[in-house]
Amino acid sequence: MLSNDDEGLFAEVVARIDSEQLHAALARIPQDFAVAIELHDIDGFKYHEIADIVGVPLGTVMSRISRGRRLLAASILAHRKAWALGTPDTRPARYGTRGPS
Amino acid sequence: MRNIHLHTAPDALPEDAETREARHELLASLLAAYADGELPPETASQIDAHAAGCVRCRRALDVHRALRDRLGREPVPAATASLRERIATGVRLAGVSGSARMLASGFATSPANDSGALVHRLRATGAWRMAVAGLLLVATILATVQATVAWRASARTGSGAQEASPYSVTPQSVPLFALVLSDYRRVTASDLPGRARDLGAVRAAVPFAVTPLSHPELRLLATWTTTLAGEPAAVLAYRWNDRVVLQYLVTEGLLFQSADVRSALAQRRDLDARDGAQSLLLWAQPESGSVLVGDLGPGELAALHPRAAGP
Repeated sequence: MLSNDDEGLFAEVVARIDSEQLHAALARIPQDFAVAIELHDIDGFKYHEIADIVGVPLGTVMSRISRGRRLLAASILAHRKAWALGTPDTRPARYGTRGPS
Repeated sequence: MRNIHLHTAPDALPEDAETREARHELLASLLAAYADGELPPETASQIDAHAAGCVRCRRALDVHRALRDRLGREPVPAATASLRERIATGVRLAGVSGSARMLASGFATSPANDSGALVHRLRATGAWRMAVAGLLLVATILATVQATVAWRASARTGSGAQEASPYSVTPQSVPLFALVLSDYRRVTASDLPGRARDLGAVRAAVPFAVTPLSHPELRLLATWTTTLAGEPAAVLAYRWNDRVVLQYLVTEGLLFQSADVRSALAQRRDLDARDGAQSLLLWAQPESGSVLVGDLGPGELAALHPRAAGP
């Protein structure tokens, strides 16, 4: 998903992005993945609590957070140049139907 | 299909490149849970050992941690005052001290940034999600707590012995049965992954007591640990009348997840199921649950229940 160089650069990039850029990146990944990430990383739920809330097995929560963060990282890196240049963010509609259940 | 195990025995032959890569892929899929402290200690220690020599995994872990830390600085989405009160009341009634930031913060007030349409939509989604999340969480917790308390109370008073016949279900209707059946078919398709002398290590690796079944014709063949739905489980393999029977010991959390299980245990009944040649039998015991599975009829499995063996 990310090259070794991108992964090395990532911590520096993500530390500098603002809230709107972060949510724009979240909106570009499948909704199932974004919801799992938000419930854990923003709302502070444990994995088993997310499984209860969303109604999926614990393994699915693990998979959604794992794959979702990798997609989110790729999304942030793909748009960092546009942000740096001040280009308006063209945000596609969330592609919720693309995410595996 | 090649079987890939999380860990190898100390005396195992060196792995080939393909097996090492397959093990890497398997462990890489668990890195988010590892970074978040959501894996059982035994699995986490396997990733510790692997990541020490795997630069790809260490970099991926840095990505998971950087994102988690950055998202953790975001304000919690707002909910309306009435919704906050309803959810907080429900959670208090359930006796839950929520670990979630939104519970600890009493559902923080609206974040200041209200300019972008996307942020506005996310906040609306957040409020809706919290309503569903809170109510589902409370309903599930109430049912689980009620079933657990009822079962523990009956166990303490000695009235907990299941006297009625088992409650019969289909394996597909109880996720734990489906998980156990799938794992049973996988591990019995090749050599068993553990040995009987591993019992001490298995006992040390799981957060509940592991006591092998007692029956004159039952012989413990092997034992090992695994994970079911991300929860640690101990597996004991027995030989009984020239057939292999597996006993899965699981956490109370996993045991009480299913409404069918909660309902049956609240009525002091075991659960059984049959799928083709295999039968399953589930019962609760102090601090864990037990699922017995084998190529046997349901009546035969009942003969191995601790109740059948007497006190």
